[in-house]
Amino acid sequence: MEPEPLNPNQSEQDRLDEWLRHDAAASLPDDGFSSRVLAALPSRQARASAGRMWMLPAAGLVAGLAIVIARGGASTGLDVSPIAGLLTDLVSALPESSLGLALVVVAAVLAVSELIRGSPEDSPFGEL
Amino acid sequence: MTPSDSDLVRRTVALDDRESYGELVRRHQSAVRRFLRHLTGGDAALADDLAQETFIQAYRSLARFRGGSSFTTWLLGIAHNYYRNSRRSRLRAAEETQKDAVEQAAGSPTRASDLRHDLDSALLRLSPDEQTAVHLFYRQGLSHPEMSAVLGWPLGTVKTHLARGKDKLRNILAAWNPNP
Repeated sequence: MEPEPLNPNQSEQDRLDEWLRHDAAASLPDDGFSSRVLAALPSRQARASAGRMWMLPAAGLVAGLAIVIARGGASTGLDVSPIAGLLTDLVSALPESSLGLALVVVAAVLAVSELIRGSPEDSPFGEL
Repeated sequence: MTPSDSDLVRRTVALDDRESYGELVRRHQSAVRRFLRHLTGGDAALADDLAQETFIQAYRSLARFRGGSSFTTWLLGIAHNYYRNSRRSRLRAAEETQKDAVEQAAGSPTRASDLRHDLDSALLRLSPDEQTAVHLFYRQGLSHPEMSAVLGWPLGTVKTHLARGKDKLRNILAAWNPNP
């Protein structure tokens, strides 16, 4: 439908705006599009598996760091003594060794629950 | 009562409720497909392929949607990213299509009485960024900040492209219709 008749009192800008907006509300018919999308959605299991994929490289990174620190950084030429010293200080600062153990248990429980639940897949698009 | 988009998102994430996600797709398919049809120069098949990928990616990433923007804006942002990622491989074909369309539009100014035709033809004379700004503002009804979020452009760039696009449209239409 054309946005006519044009009001002669309207400014040129108003008329242009009206023309540009006149079919804004027109929507495309679905024509089975939604059904095709739903049929192509990944299964829940696939989503959960994809969501856990980040844990493998993360575990590898942690293990690698632990090895480097344990070796004192000798093989890499890195000076890790500040990090090692910091970790030692942190542990020694704990009032009781049982507290350190509790922290480890909590971390393990969180990791296991995350594995069971499956986290959402990381998006390259982030949150808007 | 009709559930809000946020309600449907929560249901989909918490219960993996595909009916809820289906409702979201039905509500927003038109906006996403129209935006992608605009970006692809009217290639409906390519636009629908990209729209399908957009909704699948949105489903995978749904737990990351916090409601900081409208669901439409979030979807259009994903759609725009998908289009940009696919554009490189399709750029040559898209440019040829657009070039043909512009040449056809320029060759038929005799249909000056048809305002709709004039406007569509004039829109093809704008740069792709100006066309996208005009489309999102007028056809999708997005605000300047929402356009900035969808396109990843600074707010000033959004306003500049929109203003330039409107100026060009005015000049083109005035040249084709000197006595409206």
